[in-house]
Amino acid sequence: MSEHLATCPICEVACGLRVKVEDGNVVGIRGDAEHPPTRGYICPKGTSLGGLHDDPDRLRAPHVRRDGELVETTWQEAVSFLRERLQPIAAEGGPDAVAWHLGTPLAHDYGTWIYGKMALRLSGATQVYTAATVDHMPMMTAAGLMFGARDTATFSMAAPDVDRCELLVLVGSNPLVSNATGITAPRGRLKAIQERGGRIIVIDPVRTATAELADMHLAVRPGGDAALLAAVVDVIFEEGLARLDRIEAHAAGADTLRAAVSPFTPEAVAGRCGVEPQAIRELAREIASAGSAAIYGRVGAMTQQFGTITVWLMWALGAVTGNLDRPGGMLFPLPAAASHNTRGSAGHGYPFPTGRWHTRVGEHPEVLGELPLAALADEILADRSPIRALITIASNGARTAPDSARFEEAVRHVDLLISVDPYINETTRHADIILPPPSGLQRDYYDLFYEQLISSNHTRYTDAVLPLAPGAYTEHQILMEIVGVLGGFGDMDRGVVDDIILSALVHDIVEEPGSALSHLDPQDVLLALGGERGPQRGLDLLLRAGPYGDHFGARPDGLTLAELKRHPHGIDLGPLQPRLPEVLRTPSGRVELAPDRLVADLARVRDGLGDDTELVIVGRRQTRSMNSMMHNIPALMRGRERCTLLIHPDDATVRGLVDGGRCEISSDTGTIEATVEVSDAVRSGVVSLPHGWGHDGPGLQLRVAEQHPGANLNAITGSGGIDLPSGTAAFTVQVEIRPLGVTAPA
Amino acid sequence: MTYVITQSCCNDAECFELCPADAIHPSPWSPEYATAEQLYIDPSSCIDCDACLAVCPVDAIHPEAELPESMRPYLKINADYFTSR
Repeated sequence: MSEHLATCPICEVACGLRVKVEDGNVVGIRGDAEHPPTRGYICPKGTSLGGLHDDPDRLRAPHVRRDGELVETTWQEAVSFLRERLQPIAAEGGPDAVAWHLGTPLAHDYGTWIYGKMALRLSGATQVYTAATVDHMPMMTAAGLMFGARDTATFSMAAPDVDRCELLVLVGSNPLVSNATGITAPRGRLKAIQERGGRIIVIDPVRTATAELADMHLAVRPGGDAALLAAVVDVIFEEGLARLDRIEAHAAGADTLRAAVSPFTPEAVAGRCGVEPQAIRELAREIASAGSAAIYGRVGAMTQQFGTITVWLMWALGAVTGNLDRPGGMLFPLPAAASHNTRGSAGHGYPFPTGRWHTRVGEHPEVLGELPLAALADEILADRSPIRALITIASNGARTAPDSARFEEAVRHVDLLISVDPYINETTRHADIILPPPSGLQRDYYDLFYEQLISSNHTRYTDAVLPLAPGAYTEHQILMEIVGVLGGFGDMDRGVVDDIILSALVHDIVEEPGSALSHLDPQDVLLALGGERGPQRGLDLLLRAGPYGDHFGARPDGLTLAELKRHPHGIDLGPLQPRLPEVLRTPSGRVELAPDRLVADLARVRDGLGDDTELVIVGRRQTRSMNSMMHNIPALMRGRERCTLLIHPDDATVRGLVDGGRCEISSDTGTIEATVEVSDAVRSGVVSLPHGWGHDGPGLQLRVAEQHPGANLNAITGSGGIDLPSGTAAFTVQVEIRPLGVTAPA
Repeated sequence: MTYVITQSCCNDAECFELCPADAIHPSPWSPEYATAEQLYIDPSSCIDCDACLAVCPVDAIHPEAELPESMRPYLKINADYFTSR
């Protein structure tokens, strides 16, 4: 029996793992106590990685559609298929003919993150849609406007200093269930705040498990966070509590911010927020007077109407209470892989990239190179749409994008659907070809995305645990093949495609104004990276060019991938440190406390203050689920049904709904059925259904999930609209609920 | 570290259902279940994932570090169930 160190690729925390293997089978998985960010923590999802690997429904070979059916085929046939079907589309229609939907798991795939994003750039792709616009694009947008950004590969996140803060304010985040990035090993870490005399405040429409542990819970109405935070900032200014301290010299726009929030008095927002004016004032005073305060928000704060403003105001609030860029408050991680905020000229950057192209339907602007996922179906279905092929990689838009019916209509409509995915799921069942990647245990791992969010600096690389099946393609090989076809490379060795992309990556870093590698010849850098094709050279480049790197000789003891591999538990790079002003990449070289675009967007919040929608639906996190992808593993599907509609007793009674009964949930978009769970954890006026369910309909190969189909929340979303600055879908919609069998009044 | 099932356990067994480490015993399908006073968590198997605590209908489960003083004896009671087998 052997034990391997690995990293869990399922959620954003990326827990360190110890995997026991015997005769090629996984016999046990535990946390790695020597992994500083996660300290041995593991949740049920991580323990099921062996189950994922062994899942009989997981595809081990490509599947191609013949005579209307998806049938197994060889990689050779799959490659021929791509060349025959995809190549002409690209040749005739150019980059606009191919749309991309890239899913959440790619944030765990450093190879696709590095090479895929560069390939998209080189190809001039504009039809790029990702999980960001149904999740965290508000964070990237606010971060980009306030601190500078270049694209979505890297971002400057003001992370909460969980281990040293006196006050932690959580907005739309439930770490006890999600094990939120930066608040990993949640129970112990959150309790430690209280044990050292600190407090935790949760702002959430639902009294979640985290809210129960917290010292105070403010049950804000969904979408009311932006108005609430605006009022809190207003109180800070009005009561003379504002202080920029050390960052005053590095911040711009404080006066503009003050004026912008002035209409949002506690009285003006109380109705929309569902929080009393006095409570708003006390919240502001507590944040201002805390020895140190960190404000953190996640999915709940972001996947809503005013997500970008919400994130902006969380960070602005930190800034005006003296909590930005200081221990105990909110600090910028210093990740090991070179990021936009460690590359180029410290303290200077380019205007926030947006609006360089738009969707045809609705004229939604690109933001950081991405278009809104909520707009993809319309773009495909539009008259004279140029899109003829859709390539999905690790995504299941039929269950994660708003308005599932329209999304599925679009994927059926497109001429060619190519899906890189291990399953025949609700989206890929429509594919013309499915290209399965290896399982999570068969690939190496580096935390390129999450080391930018973490609350203590750390770097770690882990090797694959299990070998690849003979002849199987890696993610990287699949990517090189697709890029090779799209680039018109014909039969040229795909290794050459790898070399070309790597060369572009090298030139991009070396030739950037202010580059730490500017004294080097790109050819020498390429030589130093070696001749072995695969994603590791790209990772080595970023590590060596990064803030701890060897800069290809200038710092002989600096980090390289080879050195990192000698530390399989990872290297602890220490607690977060102040990074202003060098972290900034705004044109002004200052923290922009009141970006024009967001100040203008406050008008939408103001227009919505009178909103008194009767009943709205929100999602919720569940430990044993991860979007739509974990429901086919028996070990995670035990116990009671968990895709239930949470509803307050008052709202249930007035509608004749009983706990355990079935109900019908309708919106402007559609109707679904679910099991009722009566609970006073949700506030009256709010119901909750977890997303990622609805494993039904023909053609699925998800035999376990189909036994527990649940209800698809996204069958009834779609009318929630879009957060304008970021293009993120707002999933909260108005709903009606009836006991099953009761017809609506005429 | 481990989690501990204490006095108020009502043998609901939802925790048993979803423990990913199979650390909770006796199984509702075993003969011992009929006469068991409560369910027990094996401290050498528990992975501290919190899943059981989250579903316990009577809040009988505590992480070791959060055991109320009056419940401290249950740490040994849970461990003893497994050493005597």
